[in-house]
Amino acid sequence: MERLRFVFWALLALLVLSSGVLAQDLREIEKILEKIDAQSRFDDQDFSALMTMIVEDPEKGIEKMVVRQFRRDDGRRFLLLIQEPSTQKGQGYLLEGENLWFYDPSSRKFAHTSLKETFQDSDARNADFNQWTYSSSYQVEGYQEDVLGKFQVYLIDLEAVDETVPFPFVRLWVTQDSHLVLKSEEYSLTRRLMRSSLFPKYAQVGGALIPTQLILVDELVEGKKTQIALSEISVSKIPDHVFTKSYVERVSR
Amino acid sequence: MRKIISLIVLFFVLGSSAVWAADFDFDHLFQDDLITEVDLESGPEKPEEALLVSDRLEAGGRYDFSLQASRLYPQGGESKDSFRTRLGGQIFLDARPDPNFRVFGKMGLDLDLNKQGEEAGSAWKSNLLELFSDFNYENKVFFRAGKQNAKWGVGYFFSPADLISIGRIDPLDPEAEREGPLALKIHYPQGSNNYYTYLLLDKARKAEEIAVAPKLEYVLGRAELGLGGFYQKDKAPRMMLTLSTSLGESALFAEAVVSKGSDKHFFENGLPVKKDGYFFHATIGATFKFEDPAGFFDFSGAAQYYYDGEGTGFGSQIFRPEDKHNLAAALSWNKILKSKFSASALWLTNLSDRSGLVSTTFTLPSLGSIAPSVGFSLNHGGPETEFGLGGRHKTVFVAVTLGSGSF
Repeated sequence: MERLRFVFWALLALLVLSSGVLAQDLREIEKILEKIDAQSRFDDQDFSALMTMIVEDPEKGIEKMVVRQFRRDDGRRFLLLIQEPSTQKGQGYLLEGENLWFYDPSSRKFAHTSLKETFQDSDARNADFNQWTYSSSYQVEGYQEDVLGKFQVYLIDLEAVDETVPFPFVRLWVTQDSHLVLKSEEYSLTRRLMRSSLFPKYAQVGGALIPTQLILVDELVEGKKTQIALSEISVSKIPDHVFTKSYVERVSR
Repeated sequence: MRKIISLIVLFFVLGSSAVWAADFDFDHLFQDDLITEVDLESGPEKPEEALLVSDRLEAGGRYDFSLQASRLYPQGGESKDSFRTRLGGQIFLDARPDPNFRVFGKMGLDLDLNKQGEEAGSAWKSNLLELFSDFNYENKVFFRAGKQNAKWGVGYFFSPADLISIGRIDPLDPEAEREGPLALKIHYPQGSNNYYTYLLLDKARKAEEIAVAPKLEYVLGRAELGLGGFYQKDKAPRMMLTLSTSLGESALFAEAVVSKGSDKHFFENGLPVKKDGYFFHATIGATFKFEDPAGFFDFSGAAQYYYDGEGTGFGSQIFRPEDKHNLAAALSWNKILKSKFSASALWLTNLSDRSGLVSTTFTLPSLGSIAPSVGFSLNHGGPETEFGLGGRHKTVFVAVTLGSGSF
């Protein structure tokens, strides 16, 4: 009986101790998420780039899109202007805080849309062009150590805590030393794998580290994927009038 | 051959260092250094200005060619066949000599043969859709002068708050272009908010006949409020309020309009009557998209309710000056069960006189640029109702668009 009691208390102590250690570890992972968000953010600078998107669809074949991106994280703004293909030229997405508008030059109308929506039949979501918010939009479910390519990584499981993100569950592969996201898997509410995203190239741009190559794989349609490459990257000051409806109207045809 | 061409295109687009997504060899993908150097001076010095200028005149447009054969089954009558050929398009020219000056013009051209034997030349219709210039005062106040599309409302099937467009929304084709006014638009954006004033010149033969329409758009959390007015001598003054927001993957919208008097002509028992009171219009609706994770059920749709305080009529004639309640709903099932077939249905109804219209279209797989479809429509309602006026009937049709598209 004494022995049983000893085993019980020993197990209980181990449980309490391990949960404390786990809580401490999860706090460390949360700090990593905060760092991921912080180092991908342009706090005191504006950002612009030309995005070349190659969308491969088993039904439609391969399509190329060119999109000019202007981004100002202070105020949570971005503007995406489609340059190619010519049939979609002039369409734009303007984000101001919590409002995202889509502008269609053929109707000359701004319509409210959502960050969760698919961007132009590609595998990207509108939210992919916004600043990352892993630390505020998700909570850590668990983590483990792993290896991806030549990198030691943390494999972190996240669950969404707000409804602004396109996917309720995410698994991240984050380098242990530099805290760069190499890969993410995004899941539906039923934990079905929806999309895999790969970030094999980063660039130091001003005070931020941003992925310059993204590969987004649709896990539901075999062979459907989108590759995004950034060029013409700049952190020069963007005039305030760019993040307005009037600029979108002027630049569109 | 197609694959080879695609790979060549990719090679040039993304450069030799790009890793193509088709072969995910993670060991290869994540073997190199992650951080690469980028040249921050590689692009134009001011990309926002580079987009506003072009050293040549840009041209583009749209080409549409379609054929439709239909059979009409009137209630109690003999069926009637018809064949319709539509050829049309738009051409635009866009000149941007300077970031602060731009001229844009767009013409529409349509040939609509809905009577067999009609000569093609007599059915040509051309019209100026837009012709305006953009200029600004120190990138703070922006002007657009000329004939321009300028939509105020946020509604999908009905938009009573669009006080300034000349064309109205056709609920059967709600995304079609609407004719805009000849106007000077003055736009002052301030942060997230926008202030506009329109001077509308279409019917002004004297300076005092110029219509004035101010509007402001105010961002409030996740929503945008619009407040506007319209005043023109000898016309009913109007005020409007709009609200638009998004919820999940749905867009929600609402409009309210009040006018002192009406510009419409009212008839009761066939006799003209005068009405000088306040008239109200209100509408609320949503558009949505839904796709299940497996992609079998890819739906998009819209639904809207509209209260029309002026009543039922046609154009500017109101024959039943009583409150009218309308409802419109559309649902599209795209790529049915992941196939190349799509279907859509539209229901448009006047709840007040219980008349309506149902239209369905089944889109068949395209053969290159040949896009066939079949459809069925019917109306319901009595002989003196909005949709039953011409008698009840059913229609089936087969249509094909040939080589249509934008350029």
